[in-house]
Amino acid sequence: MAALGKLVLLAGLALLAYTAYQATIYRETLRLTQQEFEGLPLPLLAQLVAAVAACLLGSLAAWGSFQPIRIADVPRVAVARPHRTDFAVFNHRGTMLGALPHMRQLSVPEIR
Amino acid sequence: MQAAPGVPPQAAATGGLRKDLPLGEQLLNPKHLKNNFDILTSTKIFASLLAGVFAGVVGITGYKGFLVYLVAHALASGLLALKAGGQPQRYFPSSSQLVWSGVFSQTELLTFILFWTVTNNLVYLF
Repeated sequence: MAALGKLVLLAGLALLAYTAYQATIYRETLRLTQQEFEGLPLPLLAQLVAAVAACLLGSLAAWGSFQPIRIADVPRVAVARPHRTDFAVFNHRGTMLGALPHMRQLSVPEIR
Repeated sequence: MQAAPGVPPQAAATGGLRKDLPLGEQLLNPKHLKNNFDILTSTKIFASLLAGVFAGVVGITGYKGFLVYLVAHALASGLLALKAGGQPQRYFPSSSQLVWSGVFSQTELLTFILFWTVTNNLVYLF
């Protein structure tokens, strides 16, 4: 989801740069033919709006998602640890044992 | 514990926690709080950037350009409210923070003016 957002963002930025370049060329031709600059032509304006919209929507997905801030909204399973604080282990390879395919039946259930 | 000026003494004694709500609904997770606030500010700064480029390419000059800035901020706030699933109080301490967070802040305003000026110069003057 974030990768898709970054892709859309990149595409939007490229389109934005191209639209700016086209606007430069448009103003240049107006200046060469001695005409007044009234405003951007409608297709260029539509292209600009599309590019800005793509950038905005892409950036919305690219930054990541919101996380709930109240502790009650992020339920965590209560972890039962042994009371022997001298031997407290907070990170050990046993947590990964269940991931090995041939160990799945043998691993001790839910020791964290 | 010294109370901040303006805090009623009952709230100061309990640290601002209410007795009628469960603790889990009042305590905030700082990591998620920072994550949400970072997304908010980054999106608003980027929206100001895009507003500046838009105003520069269209060729707006003068005070009308700040209308583009305000519209871009309103749009960004609306999209962020959509991203929050219509429940901003679930992701922010107050939903007014979502709307008014960076509107008159120095970073966003100066970003807008910078990209407005640079784009206008690049497209129309050089």
